[in-house]
Formats: sequence, C-alpha cells, structure tokens
Amino acid sequence: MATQNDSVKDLMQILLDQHAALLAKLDDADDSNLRKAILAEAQEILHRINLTQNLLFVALTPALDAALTAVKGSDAALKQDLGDIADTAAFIDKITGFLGYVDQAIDIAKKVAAV
Amino acid sequence: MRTANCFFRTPATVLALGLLLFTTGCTTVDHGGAQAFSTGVTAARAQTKTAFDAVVTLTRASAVDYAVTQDRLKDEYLKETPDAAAIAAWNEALDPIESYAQRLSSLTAPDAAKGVEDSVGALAAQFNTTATKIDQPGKITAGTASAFAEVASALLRARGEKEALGVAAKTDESIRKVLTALADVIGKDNTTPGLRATVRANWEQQLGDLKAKFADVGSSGTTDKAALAERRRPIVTDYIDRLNKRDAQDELLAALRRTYLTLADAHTALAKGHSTDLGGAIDYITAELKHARDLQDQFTKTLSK
Repeated sequence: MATQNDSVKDLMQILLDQHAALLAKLDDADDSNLRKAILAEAQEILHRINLTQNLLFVALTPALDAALTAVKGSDAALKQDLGDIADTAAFIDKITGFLGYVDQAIDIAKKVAAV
Repeated sequence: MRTANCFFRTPATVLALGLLLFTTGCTTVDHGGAQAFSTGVTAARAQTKTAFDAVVTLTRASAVDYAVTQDRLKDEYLKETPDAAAIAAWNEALDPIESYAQRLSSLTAPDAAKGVEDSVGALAAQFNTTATKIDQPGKITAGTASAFAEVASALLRARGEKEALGVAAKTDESIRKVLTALADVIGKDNTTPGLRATVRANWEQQLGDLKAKFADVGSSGTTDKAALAERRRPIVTDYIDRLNKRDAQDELLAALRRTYLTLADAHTALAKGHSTDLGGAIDYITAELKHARDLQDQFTKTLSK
C-alpha cells in the first residue's frame, strides 16, 4: 500500500528528474536569454525540491509510529529496571535505619531499667 | 531460634557458586557493547547536526537566490532545508533511541548495583551493632559482610544484564526500522529522493549559473582569445571549487547514512549477544565517525576559502 511517504518520494523524483533535464539543456543553449530562462525555470523547480525535502522529513515520524512506540516502551521498561535496583537499595537502607531506631529504643530501655 | 543472623552466616562462597551457575551459559548484554552503542547514537546525533547545519547554509543561499527573482518578498520563499519542522521530526525519531541506549548502558554498567552493595554492607554493620546491644554478639565478620554485599550486587547486575538482553531482543526490529528510515531520508545515492539528491540539486543549480556565465563571457564578441581566457579563468576556478564542495558534502552525508545503518547492525549484534559482530560494527562506526569528522573539517576549510 502506498504511504504518504511514498507519494512525497514520487513527487520528489519527478522534480529531481526535471531539474536535471533542464540543466542538461544549458550545454546546448546558444542564446543568453534561453540560458537565463532555463536557469530561472530550474530555480523554480529547485525551490520546490527543497520544500518537498522538508515534507520527506515530516512524513518520517507518522510512518514510524508503531516502531517508535515500541522503542519508548522498552525505554520505560529499562527505566523501571533501574528504578527497581534503586528501590532495593532504598529498602535495605530503610531496614538499616529501622535497626538504628531499635538501638536507640534499647539504649533508652536499658537506662530506664538501671534507674 | 532462627534469626536473621543465620541468613548473614550463609557462606558467601555458596552464593558465589550459585551466581556462577546462574550466569554460566546465560547470554547477556555486554556493557562495553551497550556503552559503545549509546556512544555511537550520541555521536551520530552530533554528526547529524554538523551535516544538517551545512545543508541549511547551502539551501538558505538557494532560497535567497530564489527570493530575489520574485516580485514580492514572502516568508515562504525563504524556506531552508531542513527547516524547524523537519528537525523536530528527526529528533522525534532519534530521541527515544538515544534515551533507550543510555538506559541500556546504565543498566549493564559494572556499578549499576553499587548502591545495593553499599546498602547491604551498611546493613550488616548495623546488624552487628544491634545484636551486641541485645547481648547477642554479632556474627558477621567484616570479610563475610563484604563478600555477601558483593555477591548481592553481582546477582543484581547479572539480572540487569539478562533483563537488558530481553529488552534489546524485543526492541531490535523497531530500532532497525527507525535507524534504517533515518538512513533512507539521507538517501542511498544522490539521484533518488533523499537529502543527498536535494543537496546535489542545489549545487547543480550553482554550477549551472557558472556555465551560463562562462558562455555569456564568450558571447560578448571579443576576438582576443587570451583576454577571453583570462576572463573565463576565475569562472572555471570557481566551478572546480564548487564541484569539490559538492562531492565533499555528498561524501559527508553518505558517511552519515552508513553510520545509521551500522548502528542498526550494532544493535542487532548487541541483542543477540554476538560480541564479535558487535565489536566489528562498533569499530566500523568509530572509523566512520572519524572519517566523517575529517570530511567535515575538509568541507569547512573549503567553505571558508
């Protein structure tokens, strides 16, 4: 099935061919006015080639929608994996912190018992 | 009574053996490869910016040439290539790959689980302190605690590498599709639709102008052949200079295209755990990037003349 990208490419190919064919006529043009006319026409086509090239860029992302969604999904999965490692360290730190509070409670209990 | 102390007494060597069995035979994502892939993507982006900036300079000059031939000055006559929308589309495709590559590299990094290792070591020390306070002297020697922390870290790292391999394998087709599409927009040659053909057309227009100038000088009716030759000389010199610029810029874009295709191959090798193929692809990318940078330097020098 032809995509938007294919249509833009087809248009671009026509413009490129016309531009090249026009400039090739310069070698056989003996008249200065004819040369100017050829160059002016080629410049009109070149302007459209540059515009169409921008369209080729813009047509890129819609055609890649599914692939980009998959890459973004994998990126999120890797982010989650990295987060899991950080969470593990944070969990262990919490236990360490908890034991620190236990120590303080024991110290207080020992002081109270001594009184 | 079974306490957590028993858990810490578990010989680190047994865990280490378990880790060995766990990792032996497992294909994992090599951190060096993941890092090289990430570096390759970032370098390709930098190289793309340099190449695109040069194309913008070229097409802006064409836009000015076009605008001055029109009856009215309109913004639409001054469009350069790639314009802001085109650059945004490019980044929209490359940004997720760059982010993905960086995370892949982070997950497989040797120090990815260092935080866990430090935390386990701190927990062991704290456990001893608490045990002493409740009159149960600590049984975790510094050496055992350290070995255990290292094993825990290595297990997590191995898990991370395995996870990375799974994600890379699942994503490979999509990564290849995106990178190939980017290469396709640059163009497989300079005559079929793509940036290389667009750039060539812009240079051909300039060369056409010089051809017309050359012929016009000859049509002024002068009979002094030596004088005519001297008037034509700077035109011919300019013509050769622009031919060289055209070819240098085309080679720069061709190198950039090869880099994107090789990045796709590098990712496939990474996803399959083929370190030999990956090494070859990364070497190729490094050489291509150096080649591209050399060409860019040459091109910049030629432009500044």
